[in-house]
Amino acid sequence: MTMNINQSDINKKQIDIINQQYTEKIRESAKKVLLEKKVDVVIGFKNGTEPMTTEPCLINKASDADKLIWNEHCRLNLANYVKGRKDKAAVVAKGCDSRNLVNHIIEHQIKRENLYIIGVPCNGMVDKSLNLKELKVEAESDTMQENLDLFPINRDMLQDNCKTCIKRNPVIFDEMIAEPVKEREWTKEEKLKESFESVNKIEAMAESDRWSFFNDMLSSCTRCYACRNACPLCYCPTCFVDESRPQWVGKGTDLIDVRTYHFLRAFHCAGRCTDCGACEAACPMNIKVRLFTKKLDKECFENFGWEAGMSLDERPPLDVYKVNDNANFIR
Amino acid sequence: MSEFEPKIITILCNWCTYGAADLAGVSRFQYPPNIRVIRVPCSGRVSPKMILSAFHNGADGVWISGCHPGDCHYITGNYYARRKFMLLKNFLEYNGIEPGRIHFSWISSAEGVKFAEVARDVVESVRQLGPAKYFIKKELDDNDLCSCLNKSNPDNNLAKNILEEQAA
Amino acid sequence: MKIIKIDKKIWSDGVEKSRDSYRLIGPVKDREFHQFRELAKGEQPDMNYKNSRLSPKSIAFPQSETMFIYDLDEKAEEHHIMQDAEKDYSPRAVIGIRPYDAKAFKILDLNFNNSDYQDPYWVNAYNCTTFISLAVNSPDKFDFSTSCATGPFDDSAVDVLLVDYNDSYLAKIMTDKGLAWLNAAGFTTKNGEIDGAVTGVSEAGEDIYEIIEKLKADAESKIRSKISFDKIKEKSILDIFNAPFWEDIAFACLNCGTCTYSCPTCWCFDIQDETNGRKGIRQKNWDSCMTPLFTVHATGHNPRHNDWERTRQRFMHKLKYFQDKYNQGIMCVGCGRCVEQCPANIDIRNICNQMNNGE
Repeated sequence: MTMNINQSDINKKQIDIINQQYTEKIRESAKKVLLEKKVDVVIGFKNGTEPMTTEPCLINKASDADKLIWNEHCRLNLANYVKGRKDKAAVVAKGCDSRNLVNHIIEHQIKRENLYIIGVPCNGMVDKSLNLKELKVEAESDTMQENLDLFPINRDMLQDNCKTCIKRNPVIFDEMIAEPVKEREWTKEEKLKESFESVNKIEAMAESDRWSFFNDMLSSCTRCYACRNACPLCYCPTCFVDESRPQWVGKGTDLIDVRTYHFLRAFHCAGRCTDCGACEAACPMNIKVRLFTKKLDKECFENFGWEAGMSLDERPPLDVYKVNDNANFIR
Repeated sequence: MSEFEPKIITILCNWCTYGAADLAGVSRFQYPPNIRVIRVPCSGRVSPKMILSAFHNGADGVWISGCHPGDCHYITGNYYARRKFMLLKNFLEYNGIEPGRIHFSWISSAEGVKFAEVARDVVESVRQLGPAKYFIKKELDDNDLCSCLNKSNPDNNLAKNILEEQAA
Repeated sequence: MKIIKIDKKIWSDGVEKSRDSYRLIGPVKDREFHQFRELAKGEQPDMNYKNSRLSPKSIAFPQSETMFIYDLDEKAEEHHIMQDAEKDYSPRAVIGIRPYDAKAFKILDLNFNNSDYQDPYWVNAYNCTTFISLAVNSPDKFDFSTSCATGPFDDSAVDVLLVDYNDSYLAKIMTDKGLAWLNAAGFTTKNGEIDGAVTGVSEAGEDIYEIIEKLKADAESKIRSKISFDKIKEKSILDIFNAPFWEDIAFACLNCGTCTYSCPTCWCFDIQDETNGRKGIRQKNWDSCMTPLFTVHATGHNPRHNDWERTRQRFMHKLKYFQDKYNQGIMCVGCGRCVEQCPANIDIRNICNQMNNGE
């Protein structure tokens, strides 16, 4: 397998150096655009309250720009925090965030001229559950720190969507804070086989197994809607789960309602999902909700050659048609 | 099994297939009475919510039909619908629904014969599959007694086992 | 108050034996996380669990609970009349609940069972439950229970407090209800005598008290995070409500329901009718102040229209309104679940301190 990803041999020290460089550049850019009054606010990440956590934050004074940071725990998608903004905002954006900004622009949620995109070449995000699994989560912070020092990003530690990332550098940006990282060159076959491996596995199951597989997977879902709320694509004024005339989805804990919610949520993201992984990063029960959106990504890629958020000039696949689209399933 | 009469929710576009159903009727073409027709302005109006809702409420199959490509009253509605339907069908099957439960067709208002023919095929195909198994809302009076706790899940670890088996 | 020592060798047999007169609830691992649920026959509570992902409040306040059943079929007897849903309030014991999760039940009780209003579902479910709690010897880094008038060894809300000590559990018997369960499990002698008469107990008395005190001090010293809320009570509601920090605090908040659903003291609920054909139920579901639907009026007006106002509501309720109304501290037991699980790192410890110390 030809992997161009150089993460496997990046050790903790190198990651620290990269993080530090990125952080400094982000702060510098934030100060500059605020002082030059190019933007009203800067949206980025700051350190969280515990080791290995981050929190999206809004900076509106150049003197606060030193709060901004960058590291391998910036999992949430900051495109989620610009939708509906009327002011001019600078956004710190990794590859997938920028793809969602493209989505927002072509869906008329924000105007390109109101955005200043601080592009971050992304080395991938660490899987959030490793915090708990790999490291002893004890009250003593000394042991925490020791463990942190042994913490490299190798491929196994990346969150699932980063393992199959197709765009690590921002698609659109106003400035880049570092040289672009090397992208993996995928052939179509490689993508279908490797990138959609999780989907392929489920497709290979028998029908009834697929049904029980998802029942099982979703039985711990509490419908907190963290997956929906973390998703930049979800901006309907009233979500279908809140509609009451007619009520499409029951409000109780019936598994069929849970399945319906996840089915329709994923369907709403068809042809729009950039596989940024914010939904899985947000899920408190660690449910692999990407298995749904990824299937629709695969359909769009296979049938329409579409990958969301890669260009400002193309409409999403369900917003266009071709006269000769596949019709062999229709009588 | 021969006793089983499927219930099929049929969503027809006003301008073509609904006309075809009318024509089949006045022409006295025979087709099974298992279909329940819902008329919509255009096949482009059909939302996945409606399909799931049909299954929730006890439909054994769903059949959606509109104008032939190029004939849409709204010029392009069915072209958009076609892309949506393909994703929908594949996604339903990915979720475990059997391929024969959901059907699509283009039938113009002149094709009363085709309407009767497709109706027969749809009903037969769903009859073969038997009653719906998935996405049915449970009977409401059969709630657990205490309703106090999360019950243990009989399918526990099934998913894990399946994936592990495949990996092996 | 008496203490007995239970050898771990006889523990599981005793638990199984208590099934004759109790339904048992305990922590079990389901996929990645532990959850509290009714234990199937032969199933043991996992006494080595660290924390359950969701709080055990669902024992008496389930996420979705059917209250009434109705039938709209005119041929049915008593159609169009709400019938009580069948309930089972026979005695049950929850084993291994953490002391502050048990304490949270006392807080919920203030809301569901007070002089103005008694929620029958809550009251019955709470009353039929015996709390066999397990002290937390090594609290995790999110734990700040000692700041919330409870702690890893708090025995104020439990019937029995078990302390894990080498090969045995030291059981502090706090109530008669607790004693009854120990009797049913056979951990006491036949004639109900407690002291010294139990299998493997030789050092009942002073020593055991000291041991427990030492374990307690050890556990409490491991808790590093602290909050203070002493000044919040004195401040006026409007001063905190209009404080400048809210929008900043709430910026990252996704307004999902993770914190409210995992919280042992969040008690808000919503009542919904659900019908299927002619049959229907009326159910009580968890609600969350994070969702816009929570406060939206029939006119369409929403007094908490903005995301950050809803975030503010959660903390104002827990840390200010509750204190003012009940005068019993804050509506938080410091279990740390919301801090651990929040996707956006909204940290109640920070917010509380900011409310306390901010201008």
